[in-house]
Amino acid sequence: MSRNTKLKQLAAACALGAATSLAAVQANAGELSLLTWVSYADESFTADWQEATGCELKPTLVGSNDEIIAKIAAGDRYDLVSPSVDTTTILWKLGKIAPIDTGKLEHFQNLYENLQNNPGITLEDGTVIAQPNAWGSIPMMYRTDKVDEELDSIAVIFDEKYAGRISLWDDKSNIYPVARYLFGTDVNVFDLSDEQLAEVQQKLIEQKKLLRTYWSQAGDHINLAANGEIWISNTWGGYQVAELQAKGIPMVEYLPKELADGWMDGWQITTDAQDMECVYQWLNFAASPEGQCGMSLFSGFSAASPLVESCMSEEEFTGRHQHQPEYIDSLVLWREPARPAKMIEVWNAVKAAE
Amino acid sequence: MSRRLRTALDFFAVFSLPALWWGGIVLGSLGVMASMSFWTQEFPTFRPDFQFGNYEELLTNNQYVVVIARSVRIALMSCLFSFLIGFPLVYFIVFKVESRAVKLLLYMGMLIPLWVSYVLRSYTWKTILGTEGVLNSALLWLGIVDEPVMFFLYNQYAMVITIGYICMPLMMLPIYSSLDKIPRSLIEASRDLGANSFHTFLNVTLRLAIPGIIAGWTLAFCLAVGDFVSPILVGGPSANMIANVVLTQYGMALNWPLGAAITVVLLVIFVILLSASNQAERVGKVNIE
Amino acid sequence: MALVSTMTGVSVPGARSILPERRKKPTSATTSFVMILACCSLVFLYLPLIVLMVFSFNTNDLTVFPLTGFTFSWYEKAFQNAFMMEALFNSIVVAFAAVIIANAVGIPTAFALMRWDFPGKVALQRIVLMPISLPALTLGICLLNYFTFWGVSLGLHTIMIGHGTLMSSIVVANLFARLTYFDRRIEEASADLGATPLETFWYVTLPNIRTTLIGSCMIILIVSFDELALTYFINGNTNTLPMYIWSMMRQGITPEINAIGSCVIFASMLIVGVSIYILSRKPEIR
Repeated sequence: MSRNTKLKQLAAACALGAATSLAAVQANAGELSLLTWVSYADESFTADWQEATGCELKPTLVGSNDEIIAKIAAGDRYDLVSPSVDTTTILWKLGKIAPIDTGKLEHFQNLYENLQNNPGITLEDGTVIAQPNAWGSIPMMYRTDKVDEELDSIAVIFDEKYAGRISLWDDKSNIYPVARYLFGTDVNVFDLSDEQLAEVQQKLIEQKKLLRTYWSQAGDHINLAANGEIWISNTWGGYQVAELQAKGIPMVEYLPKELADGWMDGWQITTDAQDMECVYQWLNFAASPEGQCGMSLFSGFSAASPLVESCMSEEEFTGRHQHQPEYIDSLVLWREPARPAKMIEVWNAVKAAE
Repeated sequence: MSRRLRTALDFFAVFSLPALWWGGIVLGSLGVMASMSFWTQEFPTFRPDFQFGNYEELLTNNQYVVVIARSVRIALMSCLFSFLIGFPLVYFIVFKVESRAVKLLLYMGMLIPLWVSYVLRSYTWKTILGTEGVLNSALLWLGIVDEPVMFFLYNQYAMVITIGYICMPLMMLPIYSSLDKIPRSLIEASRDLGANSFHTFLNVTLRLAIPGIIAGWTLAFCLAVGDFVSPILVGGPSANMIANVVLTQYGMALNWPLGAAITVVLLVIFVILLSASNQAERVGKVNIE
Repeated sequence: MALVSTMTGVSVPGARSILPERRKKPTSATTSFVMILACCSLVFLYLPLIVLMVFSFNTNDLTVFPLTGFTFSWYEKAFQNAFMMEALFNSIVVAFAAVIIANAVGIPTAFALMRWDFPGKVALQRIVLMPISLPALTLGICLLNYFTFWGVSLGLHTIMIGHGTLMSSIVVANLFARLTYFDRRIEEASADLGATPLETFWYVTLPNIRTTLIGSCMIILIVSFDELALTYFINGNTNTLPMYIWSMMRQGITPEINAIGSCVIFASMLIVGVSIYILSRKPEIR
């Protein structure tokens, strides 16, 4: 090989490198990058839509709302994100979220009214910053073949009997049920005093010696339970337990008598979103009966639209409380804490402790 | 053109791109990070500032002290673990293997795991040590235990094994080169002078290997103390190491200034450690020529 | 310096120890004791890799003994995964970009440090070797701050810059080790015969450091291909293969990881084998 050809090859390689990197900088038209939970854009129900519209979904999966904030704050570019309603407003204040033009939404009006009016969805001035997608509870779950008693309380996570068999979600929301356990169900868990937070922190640190490990994503959580590592844990209502039961693991859910947290997630458009055509097509699909059915049947979460009646059995429909949307008010529905940074600090202090 | 000027011109021609890179990117990013460590967090953002609050937080808040102590402890234990496992192998290859081919083969065998995916090496230990993992199921299957052993995984011992495993090649390489440099004649001389093999090992071999041992411990320690993968995969609830805390500050805690402060402290510690170790290596070196 | 070159240098066992021993010693009790210990170490070193490979062919989707049957399905599944293939492609692009950047930056740096005296030389030497002597995480954080400071959005290009920086250090460290025993008289001879400095570099210097450069390129390919701690901070929403594997681990997708992991291990071993072969094949002295 002559030196000249070598040089040419080198130049070609450089050009190729530069070209690919440039191509990567410019987002492909028709590609939607989503920052979302495991079950909101699964191929099983979005493949046809992607085929039909030519919009290609590229989901990045997260394990907590704080992770969503972190990624957006770090400047990662996504077109759509699906945080819970305690986080939608934080992202909005960060200036990373574009308001939703409800005129372009086909199904927004069909969604449950109380979900539409949630302060994390529609701001006081009427600006819509998110489109409701799903909702549910944060119940507890346990293996009936390993736990002999019938559980009904959060107190079980402090029970020495189950040392090394308990797991908790790696999320600041663990503070809420423990606060209710300590201070009664009337306490406003989203605005705890420093003393109360210190007490919760202490309790959660004491609890660590009973803990096997924290879980962060649903798939990992399912594996932990399926591999016999954990018997008792908090969970995302509907999803993990159904998957585990399908694997033949006798896992059941229960709502603790200290009340359970409730959550609702909505799709938000980021200010980085490029292909608005696809963005709104996706929003309209996600809220359509078809999209809602796909999501809800896949995940076990409650749908944001009552129209899922068309695709669900009576049992599935009532099991998800779709006939009584006010059920969400019996849960302690997440909202932006008075001092989110303080909450996160407490949770990190718990995780750092010995 | 004067010779001096020409040399200077040559220098700039050769060095302008690298200068831009090292100055513009490496130095620049160090500077930005150092200055950000004085900023103030205002969740969910932060604003430019000049205050020492982040450093104060680091020194006074017990959670950071606990994590730093744990990181150092686990890193040292991991180093000890990989030293104890690695040293016999290195010693064997250098002194006991006669054939050149076998020696080369073993040398490569000890080197290759260094280049095998870092994450995967950590991850396999999770599958090995689990309650229904490879080790437990093998023990059950062979009838050695009746119940799965739980304490293999999700504790600090699991981390020591995993991190120690990851560090092994880095521990072994410098020790290998220092053992390899020891002239056989010295060892034989020691024997001829009546020292038994244990004394020879202690007073000659080990003594001459000190620079390599120091280098190995330093390399392994730097890798171990900066690990964030093993704590997440095998460490269980009380596993956070310093790198995990940095990760959290840049992640969900959204406190980049504090994260920057921790990194600055880490950098300073590393630089001191590396120069100290270089110094120690030089002092520990015995002139054998 | 010694630290860094041991870390990056794929050297072969020193010539001295390879010379045949004068007399064959009988196997003593200590020798067999050391041998047993050494075997245990080797088993420990390779057990995890073997476990990973064995279970990548096992039909059970839990990594549990006894083995249930032989299958290629995890490999099929892994290679049908479009996101994984995209991540793989990204990793390849990044690795080659890193090779180009690292050589463009690293070779002149090594020569400048070796051949010229200038103010701040010692400081520069420290800076240049910092990226490899410190945990990659610190470089990642520095760069994340820096890119955010300038408003650079994160993606493939930032990963390339990050890897390029890390790998430049590797090139410098390796070249440094080589240049310390480089015979400059051959360059002087070339200049005396009327060659321009560029011609001298291209026809005389470069061929003499070629093996070192090939070695560094191999190391760069492997390191870049496996890099996680640095990439973690500067990848934006672009995945490289290790980042994708990491996200799969977080999601608990086990058997597919075993399959991809086995491929990665195999590829790394292949490259290491080839590079050791190339480096040990012929001495560089002409």
